[in-house]
Amino acid sequence: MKKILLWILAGSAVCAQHSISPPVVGAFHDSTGSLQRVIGVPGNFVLAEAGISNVLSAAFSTSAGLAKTDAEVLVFNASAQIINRFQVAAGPALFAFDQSGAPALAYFASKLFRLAGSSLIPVGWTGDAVSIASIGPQSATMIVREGRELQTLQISLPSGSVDSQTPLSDIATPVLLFSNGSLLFTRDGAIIVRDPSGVERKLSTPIRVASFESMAGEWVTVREAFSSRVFALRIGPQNLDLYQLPEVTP
Amino acid sequence: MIARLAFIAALLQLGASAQLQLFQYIGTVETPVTGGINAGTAAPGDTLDIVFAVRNTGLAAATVQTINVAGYEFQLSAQPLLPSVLATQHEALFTIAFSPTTPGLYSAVITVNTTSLTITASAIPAALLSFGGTQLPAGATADFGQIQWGASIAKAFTLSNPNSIAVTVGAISVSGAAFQGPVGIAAPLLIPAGGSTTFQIFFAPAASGQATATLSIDQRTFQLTGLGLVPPLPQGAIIVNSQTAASAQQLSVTIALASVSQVSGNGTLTLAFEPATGLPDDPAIQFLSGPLRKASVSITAGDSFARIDGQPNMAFQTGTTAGTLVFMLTLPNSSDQFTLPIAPAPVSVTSSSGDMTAGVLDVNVAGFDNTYSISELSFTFYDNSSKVIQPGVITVNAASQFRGYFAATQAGGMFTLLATFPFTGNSGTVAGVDVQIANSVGTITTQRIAF
Repeated sequence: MKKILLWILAGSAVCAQHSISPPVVGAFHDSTGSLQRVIGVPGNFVLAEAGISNVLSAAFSTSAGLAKTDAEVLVFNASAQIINRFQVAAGPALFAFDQSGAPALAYFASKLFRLAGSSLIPVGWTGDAVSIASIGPQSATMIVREGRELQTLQISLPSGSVDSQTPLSDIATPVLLFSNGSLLFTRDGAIIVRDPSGVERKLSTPIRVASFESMAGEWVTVREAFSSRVFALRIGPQNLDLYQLPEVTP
Repeated sequence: MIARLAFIAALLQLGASAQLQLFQYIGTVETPVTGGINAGTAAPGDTLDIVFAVRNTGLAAATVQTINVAGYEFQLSAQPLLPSVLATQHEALFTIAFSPTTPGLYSAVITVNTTSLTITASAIPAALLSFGGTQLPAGATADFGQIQWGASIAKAFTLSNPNSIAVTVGAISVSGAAFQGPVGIAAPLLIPAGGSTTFQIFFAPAASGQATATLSIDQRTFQLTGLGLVPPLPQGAIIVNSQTAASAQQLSVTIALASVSQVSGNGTLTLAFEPATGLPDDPAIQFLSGPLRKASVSITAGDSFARIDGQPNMAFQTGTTAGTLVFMLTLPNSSDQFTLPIAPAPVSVTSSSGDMTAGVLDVNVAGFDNTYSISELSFTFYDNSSKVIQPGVITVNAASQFRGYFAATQAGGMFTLLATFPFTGNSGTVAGVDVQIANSVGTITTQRIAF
């Protein structure tokens, strides 16, 4: 078998295809509400307007994106082209993608929805969510605020029922929940990633974080409180690296 | 009535028509001259100015033909053009200066037209004041020159006694906000005959503009003056937090001031990029806040570092193109330039991945080439035993494709390469691939990319 493979690879030397393009990091909405595609490598970024304005919330995976304007939920492909849109209530939103990066969940107006094909289907759960994640076609996990405490809920998507509820006593907002169960939050002047086993990695930073949003892949949008500065956090296998994104000037 | 007539008769009447009458000004007060005048005292070296007015009190015009003064140490220092015709109730002023050189009692005769009167004055022993080697008469001005406000300058004064007897300085003081002193002297002070003493006065303006004060030595006063200037902004120096910059870095720039600024001011900091020969500009080379390559600089009194767009420092990107970043600081009265070279470098790979789907091996490499000169790609596939899968290195000349890409992109030297290799067979045999990328500087090899 190895000989067969070798022969094929030798043949592919002639036939190998390659394409070259700018490296796309992801997308985020800037302080003016415009959706910006981020082209770059760690330490070097340029922004490209996606032509979408009035964006209140946005999240991207490596293969798709979701954004919320005042009146719509927009669904994007990997090229930030709108492929679907839903008329919905006003206000910001939270989004989640499945393991493959496909749009999976949306939360706005205190309600949870799942995206299935070209449909936005109410899940039947209401509450005060601060981060949501898809952990499978049948269930979602969420961090919700109950009074002054945060709780982790596991929700059955078909029924909207709460399958489990766990207090999350040692962290506070802002927090971002990943589909693998990892958490991103801040504590004592550091950005912390806690994996599902409880192991934490820290990045000390002087900035005061207002919010986290998924920018795509290993990148997270980090907004600074009381500022228009936006940062890109790279959650690498070993390190956490924080970079400032160019500021959009009118 | 009798008393009034007597008073009028006592007035010095000038001219046959008795229309011209003489008055003495003491300050702004006009006093009729009724006979001989005691003008007062002056120290040797000082000048006592005695101001008179000749007024026409008649109903018709009268003419002042001549004004003369005859007497040692007296002289006419100011007078009208003569002859001077005075309309009714009009007057002409003249001044007689008494400038004694030695102590004693002096007199002189003043003659207006044909009428004369006697004036007397005394020269009393006193210390002489000198400033900068020049003797100052009472009322004279000592000019301290100009200095920046916030600074201080001391000037020396000398009191000397040229008399044959000792003199006493009973009081000496300075009044005026910008001047302090005297320092080095305390009154009362006895200065022996032929002796002298020196003291200092400080000029320390707290604001810009002309400042004045008065130096009083007993009954004599002297004017002190100086000009406070707005101090310049201190020189600024551009400091970048790395002296050995490379591509794809986010660094920050600060502006250190040569000294703590005493004033507020504004300037600009610009960033320019001079790409290496044959390379284009790089849009990623920019400040990360505000306008891309221009930032405002502000300095507040008390600052030792300038603020850039309101922040203590400004982050910027070095881009992914070889060349030189040039920072230029412009302040109202100084400038500074800082150059940050970005050397040509081998290709840098920032991420890579391998993906295997049915019949296809995808190799994805992201990174940058700051020379825009990628020429050759080499792929070496390995099996699970880390043995090279024959035929070994698969080389692709990608120079023209990369040239075309770099010419069209707005992403500087950044790129993502997706190389696809069709295959058939047992995909589980292929464990990883090494990718070599060559540019004009050298060749790099990625870490083993796993499938």
